[in-house]
Amino acid sequence: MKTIKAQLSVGLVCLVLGLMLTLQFRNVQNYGGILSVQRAQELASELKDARVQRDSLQQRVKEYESRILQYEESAAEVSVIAEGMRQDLERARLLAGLTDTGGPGVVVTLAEVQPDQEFNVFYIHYDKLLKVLNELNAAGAEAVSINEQRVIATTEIRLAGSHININYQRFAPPFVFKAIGDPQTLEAALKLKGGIVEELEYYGISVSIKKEQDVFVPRYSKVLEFKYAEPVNK
Amino acid sequence: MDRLYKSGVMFLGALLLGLTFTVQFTTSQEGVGIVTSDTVPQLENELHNTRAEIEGLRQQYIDLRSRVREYEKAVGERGDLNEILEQQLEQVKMLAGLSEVTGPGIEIVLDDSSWEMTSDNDPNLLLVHDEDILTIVSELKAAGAEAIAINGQRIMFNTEIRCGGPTININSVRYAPPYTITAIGEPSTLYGYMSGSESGYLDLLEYYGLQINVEQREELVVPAYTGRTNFKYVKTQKEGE
Repeated sequence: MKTIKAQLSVGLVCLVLGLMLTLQFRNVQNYGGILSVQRAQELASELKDARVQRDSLQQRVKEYESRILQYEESAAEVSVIAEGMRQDLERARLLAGLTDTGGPGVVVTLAEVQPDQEFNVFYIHYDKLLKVLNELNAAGAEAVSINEQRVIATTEIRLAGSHININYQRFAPPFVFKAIGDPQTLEAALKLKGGIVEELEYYGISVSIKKEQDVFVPRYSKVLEFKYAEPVNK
Repeated sequence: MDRLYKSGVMFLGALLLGLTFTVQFTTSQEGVGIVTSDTVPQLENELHNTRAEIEGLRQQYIDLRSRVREYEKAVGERGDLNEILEQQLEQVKMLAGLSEVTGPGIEIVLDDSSWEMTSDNDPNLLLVHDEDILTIVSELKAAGAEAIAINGQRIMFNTEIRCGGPTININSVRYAPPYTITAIGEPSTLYGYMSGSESGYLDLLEYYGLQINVEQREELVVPAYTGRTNFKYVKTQKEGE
């Protein structure tokens, strides 16, 4: 009698143990387990530090930028030539993507209706992003950003591993386009019958378009310089 | 001996069970709502991007600091900024695509397929499409191209490349094949992104029978953009506005 009891309890313990092990194993398989949790916590704290550093640098950069603008404005006040050049410079900087800009336009968000959890891939391919940008340009967009990356003449949109590179930064869905231009025209170009929105929806991508009176498009966030191209001397 | 063995097994079992419980509990406690399968890659991307931003800001800071010194010096010595403004203007115009530039790079010539159009062939596969050119241009940019033109039309930040029947519109100007794409940058890098590598997009197009010629060049000229630049909607936003 006593042996049976003992055997039963051992059996029970083994059963529970087996269950626990299975659960634990599945948990690890699904979520990467403890290692992944630790890694995520590590990353989160590194990210926090990096953001603090970025914000303080940004502050200093803005201070210097406004000092330069002050110099240019006070020079323009006393000289007509300087004023002309200051205006040309402002326009050229706008075209080069070197200034923060604002104006009416649209905010277009591309998201996946059903993200693929199993393979961790996404359906929004780089060519879809290129097409949306191209349509916005054809509709007269005057400044565009994708996930806060200003689109300049050298901006690439390219699949790199499991993410998409834009200005050599890494992104995954959702993708948010901000475009300045005539809101009506921009929206109509995307929503054209047989156009890009229909195509995206066919591929399981949800598209939301919001017309706004004041869209903010940030400047290109690095120093822009050429290593190979030089001006042709006339 | 037998009893000792049994209680040993029991003890071990209980120990394992306790450990598993604890581990299981801690995992699920921290895991709930925080860690899913894509949290780690997402955080890695954000960290990568924030670090790249910091690097960009550092460069900007150094650049701006030396410019502020130049401005101070010019105001002190000459009393005006005309010379510096002129230099700045030249530099920014070049970066925006408003001046003609020269340098090493590659030249790509793309033409429709020379294959006969038969009922077996999908005629769509035999033509150069806007999407092909869009991808090529984006790949060239990824490879570090600094200035690009197609049939002499400069690619700006807002250039559209769009099929209009058998022709393609670029900066609202209509072009027909063959398309000549010129890009200034490091020639072998540009070439490597286009051909021979696993992602070589030109190889794919060639497979479909398009006629393609790629050449590395020591010196190319990419013309200035000459289209309209008088924008109606966009405004520069200054600090504090």
